[in-house]
Amino acid sequence: MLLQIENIGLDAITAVVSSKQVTLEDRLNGLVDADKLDRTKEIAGFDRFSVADAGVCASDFCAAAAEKIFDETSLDRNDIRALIFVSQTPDYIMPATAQTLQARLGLPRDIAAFDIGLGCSGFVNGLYVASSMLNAMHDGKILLLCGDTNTRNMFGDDISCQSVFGDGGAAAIVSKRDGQKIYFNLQTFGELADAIIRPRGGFRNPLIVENNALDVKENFVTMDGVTVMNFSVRYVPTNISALMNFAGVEPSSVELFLMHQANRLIVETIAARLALPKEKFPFRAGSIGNTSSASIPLILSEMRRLNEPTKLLTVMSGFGVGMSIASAFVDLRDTIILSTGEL
Amino acid sequence: MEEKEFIETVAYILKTQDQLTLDTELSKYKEWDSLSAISFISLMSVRRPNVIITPDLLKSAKTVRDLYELIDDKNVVAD
Repeated sequence: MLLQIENIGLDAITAVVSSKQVTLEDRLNGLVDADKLDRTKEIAGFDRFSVADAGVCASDFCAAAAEKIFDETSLDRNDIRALIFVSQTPDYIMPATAQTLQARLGLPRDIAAFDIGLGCSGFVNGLYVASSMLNAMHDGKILLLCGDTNTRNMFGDDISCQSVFGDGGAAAIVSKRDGQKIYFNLQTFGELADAIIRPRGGFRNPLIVENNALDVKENFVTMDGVTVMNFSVRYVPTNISALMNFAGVEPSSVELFLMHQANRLIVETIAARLALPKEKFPFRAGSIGNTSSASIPLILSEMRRLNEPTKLLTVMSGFGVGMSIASAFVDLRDTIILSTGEL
Repeated sequence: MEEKEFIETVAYILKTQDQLTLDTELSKYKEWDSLSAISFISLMSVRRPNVIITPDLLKSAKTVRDLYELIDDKNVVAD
């Protein structure tokens, strides 16, 4: 679905990762030989991962990211009129984590707060929901939080998950902005849901409980890497081309393409498929990992940390679990980007 | 994609200096694994954007020729 939402902009974006890091070498120790370790590093592009300490949830990273914005900018928490928490690793089955975040962040009671259960496409889908809501609001801003503790979803000897996943959370403030538009292209491919799935522990299939449910591999995520690769390199470039065409923007005038940091090869292949320079498609997750919905904000906070320019015209694209793709053409020239924080 | 260039691409993915032919068995190379499979998809998606390579077809490929047939015109689909 192609659409545009008028008079919307992003005030601020930042992200937070764990101070605890684990190397790829440690993760794959005993699972692969030295040659495969090197090939994994080269293709997936991750050599270290942000891993949440025991007891730390995605909401904790997100809350820290939100506090960082309130601390380091003049944006005021009392102006927030809605809180959206996008995650597939919420604190509880119920209530929604957004409610607990409203209290923890000391936000007014006069707000809407709810969770959205999305992963890799979550930041852009969240931005779409926030933008739509702002259109119907008289005043105020929306706090969009997204993140995951992916490392809790994966089983110890699952090489494909261990090669990519990290933990983190992000925060963004979305507000009314006269004359600024965001263009979206949102797509859903539910027939591919099995490609990345944690099938147990919801209400369709119970967890398998033997001595300890955490020892049962079937209770964790399975990922079909070949299908994910196929999906990403086939449909994402087409989605982005359609978006740029709809927005009437020449690919050469887009300054930065912020791709979900699924792995290095996917990001580079999307650039190649679009016949655009790979320098415009940053991969900045090499020491963090794939943090699903936090990965696009994390590119920006990492670029800020590395003193790279971020106040640019961008195309963002989140794609993956669902499967789903959400892309947007967003002007970040007037957006505050804060460098990555640690928790 | 020409046969010669295709064979060179497979050799590049397998990181081998061997002179491969269409009849080369993929199982001779321990590097023919899930990582090389995604490299293969990546390279082919750029050269043959309208070909769909499914996991099942990829898994059933035994030789370089089988891989070459995956990107044949008969597997081209419309967007």
